Amino acid sequence: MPDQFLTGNEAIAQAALDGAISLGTGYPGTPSTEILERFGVLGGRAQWAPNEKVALEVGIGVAFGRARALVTMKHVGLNVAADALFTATYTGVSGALVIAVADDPGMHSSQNEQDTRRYAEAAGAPMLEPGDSQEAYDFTLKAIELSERFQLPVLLRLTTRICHSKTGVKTRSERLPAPAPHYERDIPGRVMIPGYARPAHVRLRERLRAIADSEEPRQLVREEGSSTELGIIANGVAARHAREAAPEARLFKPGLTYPLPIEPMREFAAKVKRCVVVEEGDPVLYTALRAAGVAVEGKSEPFRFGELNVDRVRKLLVDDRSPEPEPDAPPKPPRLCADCPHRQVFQILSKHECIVSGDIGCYTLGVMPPFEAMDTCVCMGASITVGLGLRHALPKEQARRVVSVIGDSTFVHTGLPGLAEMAYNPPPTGHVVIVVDNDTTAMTGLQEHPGTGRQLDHLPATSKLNYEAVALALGITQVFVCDPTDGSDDFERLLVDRLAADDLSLIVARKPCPLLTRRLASVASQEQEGTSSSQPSAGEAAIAATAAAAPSPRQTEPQSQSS
Amino acid sequence: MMNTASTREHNADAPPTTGPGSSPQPSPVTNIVIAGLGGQGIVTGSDILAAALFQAGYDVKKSEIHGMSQRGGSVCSDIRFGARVDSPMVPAGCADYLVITEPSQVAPNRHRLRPQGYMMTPDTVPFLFQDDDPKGAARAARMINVALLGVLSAHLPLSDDQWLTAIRSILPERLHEMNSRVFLHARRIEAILSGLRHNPAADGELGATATHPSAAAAASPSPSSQPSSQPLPPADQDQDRSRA
Ligand SMILES: Cc1ncc(C[n+]2csc(CCOP(=O)(O)OP(=O)(O)O)c2C)c(N)n1
Repeated sequence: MPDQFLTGNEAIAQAALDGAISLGTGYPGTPSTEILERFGVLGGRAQWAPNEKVALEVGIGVAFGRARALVTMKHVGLNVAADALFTATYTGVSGALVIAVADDPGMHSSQNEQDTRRYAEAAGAPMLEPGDSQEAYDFTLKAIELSERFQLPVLLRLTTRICHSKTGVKTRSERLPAPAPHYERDIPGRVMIPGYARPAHVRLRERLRAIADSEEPRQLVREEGSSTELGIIANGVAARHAREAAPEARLFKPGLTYPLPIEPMREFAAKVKRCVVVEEGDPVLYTALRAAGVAVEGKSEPFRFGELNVDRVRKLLVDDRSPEPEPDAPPKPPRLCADCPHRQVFQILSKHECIVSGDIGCYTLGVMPPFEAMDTCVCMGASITVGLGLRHALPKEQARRVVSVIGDSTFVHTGLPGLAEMAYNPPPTGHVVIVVDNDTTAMTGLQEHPGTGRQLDHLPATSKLNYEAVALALGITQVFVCDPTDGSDDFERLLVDRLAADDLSLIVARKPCPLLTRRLASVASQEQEGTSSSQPSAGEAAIAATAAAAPSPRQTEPQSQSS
Repeated sequence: MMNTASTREHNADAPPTTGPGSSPQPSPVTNIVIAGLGGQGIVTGSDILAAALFQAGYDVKKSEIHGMSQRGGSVCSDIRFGARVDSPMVPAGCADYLVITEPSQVAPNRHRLRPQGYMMTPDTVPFLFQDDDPKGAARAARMINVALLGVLSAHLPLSDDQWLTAIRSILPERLHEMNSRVFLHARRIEAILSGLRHNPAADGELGATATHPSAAAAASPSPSSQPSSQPLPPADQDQDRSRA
């Protein structure tokens, strides 16, 4: 294929297609989201999972069946999926399992800047780190190859500047042949009871050693320059910043960052008078090199925070800790859209001085003025459970003001176990949970989930999760649905009434996101243009279903709903 | 003098090496920053720009933060091109061109411009909004990204054809005509104005003594002087700085 100009995410999707990935799954999260979306557009089999753990486990199954799986998520998603990862390295795989994880140094759109490289070592999963879109493409194919050859899940570690930067990419002219899926029984290899897990752990260490001893770590190194003064060891996009910041330096960029090519790094460091490690985030390379007795310099504390860039690398190299230049005015922060249905909810919560246990999504912007109606936000799903903890601990007058607010995608992601907890261990004052159901995962760009009734390409799915019915089934009897934007005071009255009660309530505040309505309309018109079918298009059907699901306030009858 | 098309190919092709290669010399890079608010088409505008440059044979890198763009916050996109570009981000105070689609975003981004850099804002294209029909003015405002791209294009070494091809490759078909017209209009007017700005005495030789970035490019923005079928060498980027 000729040159294409692609983002890292697009390059990975293209590689997934060219590498005959059988199934792509994941959960949306900036900056990783577009990988699966693009894979779907290119014709790959791509689907959203309810959360990252589910996605990874589905991927494990695919790879147990000798097929190839790509699983995508943002960095914090790997926390959710970590349980599966730590034992998948013991079981290993017989097909390919590539896990693309996107970090967000500088937290452009995340709640923390954790460094995924720690997971590679902790779980014993080989890790590849591309530095631009070409490497994102090449390393995805390499990850498939390594996973099949060494029978291990392989992490592809990305950062915002890899995912969302565009650079030229040369792609393969032919696709890899697709494997023939087949199940071979291997009980000791796949069933991790202690008796089988003990040898499995030994096998994992052997496999990692085999990779370290293979030609791969050395082959994936990029080394440039001939200086005998300054040497720089850098990973990912930091290597590109370093190249520009110190054009005279000798540069070493490992492609495989777990297991590390320690010996080539030692040889490299010996060739220069001064060898500095340039890495974003935690001092991972630095610590590994020092532990191996390689004389390298690291960075001072200020450079642990935020993204690196050419200027910061220049300063890092001379340990200049002076403050960064400030803009004349701060950038404009994001706000809830003018016609966002979340607005009415936060206006009421603010008016009644609720203690709002919040969650992650567009609705987190309810923390901004004029609402300032959010008191806590930790991680996805925590709204219900942190709210329960507050209700358990606080004196009654305060406890009664605690409300948990959670988005529809987040509710499906990790809210459901919290609801089970609420029914099982109710606080003395009861609790009120509001699902702000805008019928989409708006924050990350309008992705579908099991509650929307539509699949990744926005066309109808075979089922639609019914939050009200789930709550009833879990034993929460007070379940309500209302449209907070209908101009009436129904939502407000309902909330006040429920806060005064000592029982457990779930209120679904339901109104589709206006951006979604526009997106679905455009999907519908594309469908119409693309097909001459006389049937109403799938997109139209989706809109019709959305419209039908906007009811007036009503209490859900236990009997009628659970049938 | 190095052929840029093959330079990029070389970069893309270069297999990971184990042996030390030759240290690349820093090569001149043109830095552009486009900034505005979510919903103003910053990413689309920078996609058109980058596609045009890429098709013309440059090494191009483009980077942006768009996680919050739908929520009306600040959005900004960095585009860099030359014979070889390393970092995808424009270093602080190094933008040759700063394109701002919304006046309130001048202050948060001004520091990115280099001292002799050139800034373009909606004030650069007042003619765009001179429409008695408020609907017409609103429609024009929605194309501010493409209009300012037209202004910028007058300073860059690409032909009309190359720009219009890029517009067609990025925008949906129903938008081609309107956007191409707005683009070309802004491009032509800027070509004339920048010639006057930099050479008040100029008698037809637009920009002959221009002092701002890519002056050589500004000297010949008209399609007649640019072969559109051939990838262009990066004008003032490459002369006598061969790395060979
Ligand atoms: C574990 C984890 N995965 C993914 C994300 C990225 N993310 C943030 S909020 C969100 C979902 C938002 O959807 P929803 O709850 O429906 O709220 P909305 O934005 O539609 O208001 C996602 C996917 C995250 N922060 N943490």
